[in-house]
Order: sequence, then C-alpha cells, then structure tokens
Amino acid sequence: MSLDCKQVIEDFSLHQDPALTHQEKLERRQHLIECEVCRNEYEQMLHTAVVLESLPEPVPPPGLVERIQTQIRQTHRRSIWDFLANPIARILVAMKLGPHPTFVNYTAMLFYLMLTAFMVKLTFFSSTETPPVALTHAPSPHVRLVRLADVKHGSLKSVRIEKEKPSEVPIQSTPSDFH
Amino acid sequence: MIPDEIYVQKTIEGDAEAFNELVQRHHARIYGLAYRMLGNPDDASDAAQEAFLEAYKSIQSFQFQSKFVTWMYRVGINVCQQYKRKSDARNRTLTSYTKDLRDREGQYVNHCPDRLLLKTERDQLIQHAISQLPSKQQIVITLFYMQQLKYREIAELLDCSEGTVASRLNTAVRNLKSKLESLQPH
Repeated sequence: MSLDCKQVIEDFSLHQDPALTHQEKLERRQHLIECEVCRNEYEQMLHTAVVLESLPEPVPPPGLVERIQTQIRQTHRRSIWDFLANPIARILVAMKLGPHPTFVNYTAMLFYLMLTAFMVKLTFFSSTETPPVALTHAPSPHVRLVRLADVKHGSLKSVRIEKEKPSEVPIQSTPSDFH
Repeated sequence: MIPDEIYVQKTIEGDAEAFNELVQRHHARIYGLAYRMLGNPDDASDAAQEAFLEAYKSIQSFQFQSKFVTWMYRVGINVCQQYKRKSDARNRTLTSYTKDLRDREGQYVNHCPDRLLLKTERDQLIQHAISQLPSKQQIVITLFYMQQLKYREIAELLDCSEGTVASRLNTAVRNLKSKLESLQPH
C-alpha cells in the first residue's frame, strides 16, 4: 500500500465529516475508484460504520428517572442540613474558596463554641433586675417636668457635704431629703 | 421549549426540581452512553444515576460556556471510566473458578427475556466488540455513531482537537472491524 493509500484509509472518518474540502473529497474518491485494495478496505470500514449507526438505542429501565429524581430530592434536603451543620464553611464553598476539610471542621467547632457561649451568657448571665417603674411606664412630659423640679428643689435644701471622706461618699442623701 | 441553561440557573439558586427536569430530558442519552461504555444494563443504570448525582453536586462549576448536555456527557464519561476501573480491579481479584461461575451466570442473565436489551445476536456481538476497545475509542464511537454528536462537539467534550477525534474514530472503526471479523462465527 503506497503512502497515498495509507492516507486515504487513515482519513476514512473524515469522509463523513465536513472537515474535508470538496476538492479533497474528490481526490480521495478518485483514488478509491482507481485502487481496489483501498476500495475494499474502505467498504469494510463503511460497513462497520453503518452497522454501528444501525444499533438500536438502549432503552433505560422503567423507574430509572424516578430513582434519580428521588435521590436528587434527598440530596437537596441533606444539603440544607449540611448548611446548618457549618454555615461558615458553606458560605466559603459558595464563594468558591474551596476550604480544606480540616479548616471546615475547625470553623464548625469554632462556630458552635461561640454559639454555645452566647447561649450560656444569654441564659445565665443576663440581668434579671426589673427596670425602674419610671422607665417602664414613662410619664408624660408634663409630669416629668414637675417631678424634676421637685427633686432639684429638695436636693438643694437638704444636701450635706462631708469633708472628711470626700472620695468615698461625697454626697449623702436619703430618700426623705427629697420630700 | 425552555433552554437547559435556565434550569441550570434555577438549580444553582437552590431549586432541585429544576434539575429533575434536566434529568427527565437527558437520562436516555446518559444511559445510552453508559450502556455502550459498560456493556450491561445494571451497571449502566447505576452509572447514569451516579452521573446525575455528581452533576447535581457540582452544578456550581458549570460555567455556561458550553451546552449543558455536553457538560453532562463529560460527567457521564468520568463516572463510567471510574466504574470501569473499579470493575477491572474487581475482575483481577476473581479466581479463575469464580470468574468461570460469573461468566456462566452472565450467560444465563443474558438469556432472561426481562433483562435482554440487545435483541439480536448481531447486536450482542457488536456490543461485545465495542466493550473490548480501549476506553478512548469506545467514547468517540459512542458519541459519534450512537449519540450523533459532531466532531466539534466531541472535541470540545474531550478537550482535544477535531483532528484527534477523527484519528481516534478512524482507529476505533478499524479496530472494531478486525474484532468483528475475528468474533464472527465461521
């Protein structure tokens, strides 16, 4: 088989694709007409190609789509739980930062440690004292003015200054002084 | 018809049902590809299922630069190649005795009417010859002759030139021709 023959057979698949120009196709066709060896080889390959094209399309088994769709739904639900398991890592993944699994684990631990500390503080260390009545039931502006005036006046009359220990108790006053 | 890319966008935004619409549209193609690459319906079903699951998990990496189906084919090919590697490793561990048993069992399974996919002996012969080809040749043959993809699409999918696709296809057809000749009953 000459070089031309080899090339014609090697380019067999190109005959079926518009990659070759019209001129190139004509040249190859002419060669096939003239060369019996190439023609036989070409015909056999063409037969193989035709056989391949005529193969029946495999039919998916019944229930395959439903099986895939159910699994997709399950994965979707699981991904929501995954987000709750470690929101920081999920956000990093969403930002396409691709964190290392160890980093993901540590951020998860840190996140839940901080969350626990916050909950403990909120539960056990928050102030339980009731705020003064004056703050919870704010009086109208008019009443407040009157009360302030009373206090001012009363404090002016009854304030005692102790010179011995000014830093500890500079001003001593009793609730009765204001009345 | 709503383009696939709209459903892909919805999936990225968290709508799993949008992806299920894509499953409905493309499952037959991916199953067909898996069947031609793996050679039996059970493995093909599992591989198709795994391919769609893999695609759903990594849908964020879809760049909208190619068609969804091209990207899906790529995922399918990767999954099938993994399957083949696992299957080869499994076969290597089989003793000749168990292998013989398995072959006989396979023959029985192939004759069960409910599992019979390739109806004629000729189709079985061709499928057997295809499964004996190297993986890359199987892929181009399946994509070109059975999935009717263009050279350009196959080249994009396999990340190679159209010339490489043509050459691979040529070699595949030649190999298949000689295999069919040797397999044909005399």
